[in-house]
Amino acid sequence: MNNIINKISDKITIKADLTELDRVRSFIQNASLSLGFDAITSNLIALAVEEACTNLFKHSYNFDKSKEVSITLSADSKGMEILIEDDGPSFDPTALLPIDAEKIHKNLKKGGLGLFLISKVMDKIYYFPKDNTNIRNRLILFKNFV
Amino acid sequence: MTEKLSINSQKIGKQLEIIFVKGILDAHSAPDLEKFVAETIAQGNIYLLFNLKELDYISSAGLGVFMAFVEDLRNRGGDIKFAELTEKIYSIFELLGFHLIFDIVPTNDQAIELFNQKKLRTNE
Repeated sequence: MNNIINKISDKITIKADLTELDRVRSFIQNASLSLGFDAITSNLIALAVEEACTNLFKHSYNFDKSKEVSITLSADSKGMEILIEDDGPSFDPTALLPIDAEKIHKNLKKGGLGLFLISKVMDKIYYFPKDNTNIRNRLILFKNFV
Repeated sequence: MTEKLSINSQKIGKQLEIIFVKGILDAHSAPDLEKFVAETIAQGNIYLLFNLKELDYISSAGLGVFMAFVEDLRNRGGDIKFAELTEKIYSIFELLGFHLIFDIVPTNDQAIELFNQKKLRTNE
């Protein structure tokens, strides 16, 4: 497993452009499958990461295509970690969790669906705003192997 | 329309349209579906059946299109239903609890039957 993990550790940097979502999906899906997640779960993990990127494009960057988001993958014996870094204004999405499913269903025209999806797919979500030590905001998504 | 998404439709009787959505439905392509659905409703259709047999991927932006229209359609006596979801797409609907707020059935015929039952109830 360690050899696979070493090979998997990888990073991509994308522009805040919706046309980049295809690349995000392929990157995450391929890595998830390589680590042994099944096809359905790999698709869900890719979806969660895409939702996180879309939220950043929209809310942090206001679709400014000159801005960038970096995605770094790593894994240990317990699962896969996805680090998503941005340079926009800090916003802690975990402050909005947990999201009540009933509210999502009742407020059909309201947003929040993306974050709800992320919270349903991933096992752990951490957020660290940029500070004197770290110049970028960091969102960490973790998926357990079992 | 983006190349990765293809949308076709078929009229089935009065006010009922089957919409076949194929390919990738994400934040990039969702506006194309939104425009298509708005036009379909503007033509007087209030019963929309989405056939997702050839849909490869959907994100919240795609799901948001259905959510944006369903309330208005239901207020007008209509509805949105889904048929022929793949296991991959169904897993996302199920995760979000969409199977609790939408009818999701195996075939177009079953969805049409449900629409017909609703029409009968509405006309009683």
